[in-house]
Amino acid sequence: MHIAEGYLPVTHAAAWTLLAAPAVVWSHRSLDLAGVSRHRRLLLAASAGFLFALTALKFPSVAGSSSHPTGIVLGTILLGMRVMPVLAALVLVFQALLLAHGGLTTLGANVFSLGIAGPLAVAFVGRLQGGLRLPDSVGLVLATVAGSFATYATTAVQLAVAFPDPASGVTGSLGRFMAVFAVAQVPVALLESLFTVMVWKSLPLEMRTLEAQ
Amino acid sequence: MRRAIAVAAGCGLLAYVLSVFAGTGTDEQAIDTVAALRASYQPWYSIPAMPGPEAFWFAIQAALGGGVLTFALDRLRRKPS
Repeated sequence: MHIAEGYLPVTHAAAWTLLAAPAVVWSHRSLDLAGVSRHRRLLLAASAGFLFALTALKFPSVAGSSSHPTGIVLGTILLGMRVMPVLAALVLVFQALLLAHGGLTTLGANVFSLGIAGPLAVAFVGRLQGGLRLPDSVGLVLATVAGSFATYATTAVQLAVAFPDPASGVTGSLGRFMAVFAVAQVPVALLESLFTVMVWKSLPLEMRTLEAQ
Repeated sequence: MRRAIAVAAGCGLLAYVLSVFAGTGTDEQAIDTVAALRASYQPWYSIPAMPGPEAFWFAIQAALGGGVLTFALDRLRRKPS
């Protein structure tokens, strides 16, 4: 889901940065690290750790391609989607500076997909799961797939809008970018949901409540 | 703490191996697609890469994440005093 450094035209990079920045500020305000309880601090650490660990893995996928899991589900369901933009920004800055993955000019666009669009989809599925009274593990798999899809579809849209196909326009290039991301992401999302369920099951029972609802 | 260190090491190793052996990333494929759509496009900014192989930095990130996650989970399981 990382749009590489410099791979969005200046105006697009600026626009996505302007859209993502208020969300990161709003998100950061909710952390309140000094005043927060020990319990919430540990949940935050766990969510950030999960996000860091998962986004560092590069799973092989169909036809010789590979892709990263998103790692956004744990934080979104344990603490709500408000904590996600700032956590996503943290991991994306780390990757831009140390790994040459993503970049500072594309940080806004990448925060928008990983920290806003993905968690929104996860929260939506979490709510749906609560309403339908599905088992936790089914809900987690659905939430992971939905969050992963929303994240990668957003990246595809961002690139398609920036680079319309000369013949068929934005719809044409969207098809091409979706073909890159969507196909590779399905097996990766399923694999990722195993990690999510594993960590969820290792939480004490009373903590397994869906904040997203 | 011991468990956190063990998990950190495991995550680091896993990330290293996956980074070396996994196929072409979708991020790189997206760059190729941009080149196919607009051959003249040149990235207008780049930051200098860190020294050493990419896999090493992926391993560091995964170890950091896995370690913090396990540490926090272990603390959460313990009854608060």
